[in-house]
Amino acid sequence: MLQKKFGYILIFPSFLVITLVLFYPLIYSLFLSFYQTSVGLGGLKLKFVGLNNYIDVLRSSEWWMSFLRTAYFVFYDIFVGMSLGLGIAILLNKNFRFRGIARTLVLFPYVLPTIVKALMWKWIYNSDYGFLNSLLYQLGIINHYIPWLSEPKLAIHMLIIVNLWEGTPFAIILYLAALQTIPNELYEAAEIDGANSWQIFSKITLPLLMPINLMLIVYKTIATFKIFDIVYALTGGGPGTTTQVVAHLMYSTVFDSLQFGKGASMSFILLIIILVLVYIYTKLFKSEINY
Amino acid sequence: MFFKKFLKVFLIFLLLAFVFTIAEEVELHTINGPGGLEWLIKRYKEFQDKTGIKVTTTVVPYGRDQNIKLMASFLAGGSAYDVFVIDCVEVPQYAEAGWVLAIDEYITPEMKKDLLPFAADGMMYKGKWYGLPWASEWKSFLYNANLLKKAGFTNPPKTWDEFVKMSQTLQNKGIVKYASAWSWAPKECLICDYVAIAATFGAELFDKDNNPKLNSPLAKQALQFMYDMIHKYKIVNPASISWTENDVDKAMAAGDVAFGMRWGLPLVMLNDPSQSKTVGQWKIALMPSIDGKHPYTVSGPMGWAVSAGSKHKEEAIKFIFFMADREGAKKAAIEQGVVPGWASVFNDKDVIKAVPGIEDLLEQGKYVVNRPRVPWYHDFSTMFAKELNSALSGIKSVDQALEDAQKKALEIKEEYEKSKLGK
Repeated sequence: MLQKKFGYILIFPSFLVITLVLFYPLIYSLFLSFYQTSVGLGGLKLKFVGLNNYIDVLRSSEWWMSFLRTAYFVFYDIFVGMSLGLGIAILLNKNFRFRGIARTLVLFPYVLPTIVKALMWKWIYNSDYGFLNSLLYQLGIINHYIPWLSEPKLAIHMLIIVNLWEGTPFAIILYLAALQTIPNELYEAAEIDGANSWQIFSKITLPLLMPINLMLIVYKTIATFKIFDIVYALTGGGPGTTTQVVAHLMYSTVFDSLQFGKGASMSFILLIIILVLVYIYTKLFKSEINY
Repeated sequence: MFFKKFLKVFLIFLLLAFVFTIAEEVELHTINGPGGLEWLIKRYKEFQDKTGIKVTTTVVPYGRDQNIKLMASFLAGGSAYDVFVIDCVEVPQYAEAGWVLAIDEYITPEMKKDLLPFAADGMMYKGKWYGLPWASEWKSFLYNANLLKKAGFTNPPKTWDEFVKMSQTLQNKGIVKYASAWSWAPKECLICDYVAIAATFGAELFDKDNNPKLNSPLAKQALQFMYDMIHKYKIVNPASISWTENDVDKAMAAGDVAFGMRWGLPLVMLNDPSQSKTVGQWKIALMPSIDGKHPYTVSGPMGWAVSAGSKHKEEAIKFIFFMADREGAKKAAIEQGVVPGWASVFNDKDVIKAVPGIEDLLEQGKYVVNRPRVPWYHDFSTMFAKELNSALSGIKSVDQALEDAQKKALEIKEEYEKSKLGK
């Protein structure tokens, strides 16, 4: 009994810190989302508006356009990012010379600080001196330099590439770890039974990776719906608003327009959408995960 | 026994020394972008050596990032940053919110007489002073005389027609790929350039009561011209719609463009061999305009200000005067290319000797327009930059973008007035 009490005493400071840094801001932002806010002498002025902020956001075409753009990022991150991650993980799972170095190199984008990544890609995409234009021009693929981040239809895809480059290593690590847990005997038995590579992959590897797939889909949905830094650093949401994602719109609503209540309601709408998506994923995958 | 007594006395002495150290050391906090940071830190150290008051700074990437941190500090009482650089467009908002200290009592009639009118005006709101002018800038139009000479031109363009023709000649002769580059990313820099260009067309974006007139025919004509420069005449680097001032500076310093606009004392950087490959090639000219009679540019006076919530107001005042009084401004002009707000500093022989092109610069200074100075500026400029950039990118037509901007500007104004009246 004494031991139990002592345990509670020991975890109390951590509990207090978590309450302060996590729950307080969360509850305060929920509170703010029901108020119209303005700044003035002595700080924030609040006026209760009920669900008006939520209704305004849901009626706003800017919000829905930003949401769809973000969903576009998520779509690529899940389908292309995970396929790439799995493909590279399968390659890195094989025995070859310099495998250790290759495994270290693929982690490179994951460990770089965001600001370094942003500056690096800004240089790569530079329309006059950029590495990408220079490479494609020298290979004869393009005959004039392209302003990658200034073309409305191109810019979002250039950001998607950066997001994939940034996010794929995480998928690689998880897939690589999961691949190493699959017993070799299963593959040996399949080979003895005469299964070809595709059959081995589709009947053994892929089903055993289902828990990781679910985890990655959930993680990528959450992480990519929050995408902000590369948009902020590379395009600032432009040209026009063609790369404005929800996190950027929230940032702009809160810090440029100082509409704290509206910004908070946006974040809770996004939270609800993500929770619904995660629930759907879990239901969909439930029947697939039988191992 | 003796040892115990000695230990007691020693501990008391130590405690007193600690208390006095804490009590005496005043530390002012400020916030800066990365531009000219080394020099600023050197000046903060000089201030500490002179007064014993320490100055520490938080470094943020660029422009608006500073406002966000400042506002968070203001909302929490305003003591996180004692002193900061305030932009003229922020003065109305910060003053209305009570975040910035009025410094009228420190501005003498003699000082008022010496301060440049537009710089002083930028620091004032409803008759009160909220900052000491610092970096009292406007954007200067520059041309690369060497490149123009190669194309057979001896003078810069006076009208936009001449500008287009000269640009096309420069490009057709293969001297430059694009004759000019601009800072037209959907940010504040685009508002600045548009305000200047619209003024050269004779357009006024706000009336005298600060009501928006963004969809006037002349305003549309100016934006249409900007669009045409990129898409019809193809004389502007198309990357300009995602570029900020830094990108334009780089293109100018590399000699990639023949025309450009720069804030401050532009030749200081362009003639610095460590930053520029085009030393001695750039000259300052008046802005081209639609008829050669409206050579307007945009001004953006800034000033050092004191937070109303600062716990060290007297020390903070001392600091802003150290940085931006006549002596401070002279040092800043000579060593860092910061445009002084004092007429006497402009006329100082050391400054004239050290800053090339200052006479041409002053000529342009007669034709400056300011961005709207409304308390709802941040909300407005964010919206307006997106609309302008949408038009320049071809996402919206010029007409549509400016009609939308006008409608939204009125909504923002109405919303602000409602919240102010507590309706």
